[in-house]
Amino acid sequence: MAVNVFPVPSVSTSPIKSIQRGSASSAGSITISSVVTKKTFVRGFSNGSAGSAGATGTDSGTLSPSGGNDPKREGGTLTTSRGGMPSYVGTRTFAAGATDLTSAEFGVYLVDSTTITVTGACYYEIIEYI
Amino acid sequence: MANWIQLKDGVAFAHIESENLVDNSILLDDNIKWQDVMSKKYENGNWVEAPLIYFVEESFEGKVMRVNSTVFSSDVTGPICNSEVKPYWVMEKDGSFSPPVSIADATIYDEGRFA
Repeated sequence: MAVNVFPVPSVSTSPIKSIQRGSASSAGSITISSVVTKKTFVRGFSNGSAGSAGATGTDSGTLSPSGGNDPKREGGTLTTSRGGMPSYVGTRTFAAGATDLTSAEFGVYLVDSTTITVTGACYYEIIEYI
Repeated sequence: MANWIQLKDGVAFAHIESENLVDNSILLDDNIKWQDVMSKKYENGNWVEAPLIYFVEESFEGKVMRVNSTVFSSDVTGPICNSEVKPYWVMEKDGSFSPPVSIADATIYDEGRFA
């Protein structure tokens, strides 16, 4: 039975000419060492982000005072000793509106031989082949 | 590999490791890392703390919905506020901000009325 034997290269060389890598904390354009664009690709991935947001919507309903007495002035001092603070009765409701939270994933792309643009906080690598 | 730093609005916003020259960049000494200068302002050859700018990123019916902060002035996308402003604070017409009013904050006048 014939056995196929593939030639083994005598010298192993890397096809990669250069790698540049880094990170950005915001969107913008970044200058890089000059590369040949048709032999280069870039890859990147987002940094995480965190924060807080409030829900939107409309609240309605009325709370009305019930019972209690207004404070009275007695000898220069405000007091509620003859009564008390009113309680509030009623119902207020909150109708949720649209969900306004959005999420975004940031990336990077090669603009020209010396410039990349990042769309937000991300890490990136610029890999140029021979 | 050399560490090159790039500025936005005078503040370090990106770095790139490259063996070759990178234009429009500041070359960091070997003993300084990107993490040491990230988001710091470059002034007279020194890296100093950059002030955080707080701003309202989103509002709804005159109320603050989302607050963000940045060290980059060109990233500000809404009214500038201070660090105390939180969601649901009220945006006043004069540009100031007020916390949500609660009954506990109501003022008692001498006449004995609540306002």
